[in-house]
Amino acid sequence: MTDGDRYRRKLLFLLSSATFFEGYDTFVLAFVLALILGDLGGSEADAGWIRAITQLGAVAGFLLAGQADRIGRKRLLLLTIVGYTAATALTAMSPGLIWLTVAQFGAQGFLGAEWAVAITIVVEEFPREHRGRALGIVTSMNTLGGIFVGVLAFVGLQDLGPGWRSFFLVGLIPLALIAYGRRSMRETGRFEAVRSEHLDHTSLLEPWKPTYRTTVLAVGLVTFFRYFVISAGAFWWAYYAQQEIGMSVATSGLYLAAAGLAGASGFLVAGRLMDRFGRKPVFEVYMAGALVFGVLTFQTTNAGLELPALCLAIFFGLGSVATTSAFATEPFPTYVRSRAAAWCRNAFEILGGVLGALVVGTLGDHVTGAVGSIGDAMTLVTIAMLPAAMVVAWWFVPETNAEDIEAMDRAVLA
Amino acid sequence: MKRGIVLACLGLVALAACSQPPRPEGVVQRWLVSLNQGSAGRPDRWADAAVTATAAPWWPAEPDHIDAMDVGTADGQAVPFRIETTDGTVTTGIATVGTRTTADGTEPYVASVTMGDVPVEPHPLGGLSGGELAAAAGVGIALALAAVGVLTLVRRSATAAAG
Repeated sequence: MTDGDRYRRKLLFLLSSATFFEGYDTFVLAFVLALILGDLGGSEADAGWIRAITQLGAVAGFLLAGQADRIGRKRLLLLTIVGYTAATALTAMSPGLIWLTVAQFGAQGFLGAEWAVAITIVVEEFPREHRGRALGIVTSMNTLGGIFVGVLAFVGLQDLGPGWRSFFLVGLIPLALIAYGRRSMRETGRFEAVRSEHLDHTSLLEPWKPTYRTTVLAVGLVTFFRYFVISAGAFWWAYYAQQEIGMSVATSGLYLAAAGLAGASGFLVAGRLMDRFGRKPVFEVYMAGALVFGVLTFQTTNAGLELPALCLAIFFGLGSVATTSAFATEPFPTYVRSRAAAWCRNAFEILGGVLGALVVGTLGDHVTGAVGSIGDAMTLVTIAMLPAAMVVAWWFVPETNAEDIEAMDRAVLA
Repeated sequence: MKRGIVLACLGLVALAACSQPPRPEGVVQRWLVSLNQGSAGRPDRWADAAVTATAAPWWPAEPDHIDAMDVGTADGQAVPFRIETTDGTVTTGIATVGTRTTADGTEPYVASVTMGDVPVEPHPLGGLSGGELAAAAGVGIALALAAVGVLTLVRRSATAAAG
């Protein structure tokens, strides 16, 4: 094993830890929602708005993510970890819903930037033949973070003294990563090369210049449609399981943990398949799987059938992020990559996440919704959105499996 | 930017238009769920204290005092319901949903309950029709066509600008 291999292994650990807590934070609010509303007061409608507002924090985070092309990947990654930890500590101390919403808005902002820069670092530091696998590992940690929430709920973390606040105190762990990461992490070689050519002082709007515009918009729309469904599913599944199937909080936690564990392999499989068959074919297969098993997950009220359906929905639905992460980074040269990824994720994807949870909640509201069932609302949204993502990806997103990033950078520098 | 704001406003209007008059079953379900959250559940949002006391004399209890709750299909505004508490006690009754005026406007609530031995077949939530599924697929096709149209125009203008 060379020094480079050893460094990349360390790097993978650090980046995986960052995306792990991104997944943790995505699920934790949904799982302890009932406890928070019970403690701080508030209705289901309030919960929908809290989710929408906190997700908007990630849209704001794209401004921060874009700074990776100015201040460097390493510095921004460490900065976002500190910011996330502070925001999580503030969440745990929330005396009311407004405080909690503001703190989670901040946490989502830092997490959004953290995710974008972590993916960029993988793309820049790993050789082409290992990039798909590395993306698969880093993005799979997102689901493991979600599983961890389920495990903690199942073992009864909520029953400890601080109650639901315990879940956010766990979010302080990333601070320990700073001590580890600050010493061992280096700036990416590609960023250093671009900085030496003074291409690091580019506009935030650089990805929208004619050369990249179509690709940014296409990838943005694909991530918007995809995340509209995935985010709504991630947020509403626990509620659906508890209110429409009739599971307890602990059982739904166990289901999420078990399904997440099985489903997490979707990232790793996607990573390997991407390197072998290309990004686009894998994305299409994963979206088709997410469509079928997503509908099944939210249509069955049989608790026995729910588990395998949920496993496969997570496998395909969340696993597809390995391909969209490649879409959002690989088609762009180094000097603009972080900004392009930030636009795709923080402007399009998170917007999809905000609207998805809101639309499903409005349509599926048991009292006033046009559909009147969260399961049915999720089903309709899934059928409407995922095929659109598949069409746009197939026709407008470039295949980057054989993309030579060094050659792309040389062309820009020339 | 202006187009984006207009689109966002249209989206919010469309979302608001998706709501419908309150479902009696939903109102009763919210009330029962609130009973199961201890005093933090605030069932007064869904029923007067006297109504809650009639149906659930044990309230306020610790959260999760209810082991199972079923809400039947409404007959007009009358909704049969069944509560089984963790000590094994089963009670059934019919809740009548009405509207009341508060500082925030008119809202649905459980106006009265009549306790007694009534059959309660759980009201099936959802159940999509073929028409609804076809409509969702139609929305999907429309979204895909709109996206393809926009991207084709953007690609043309970008090619022209670059050339």
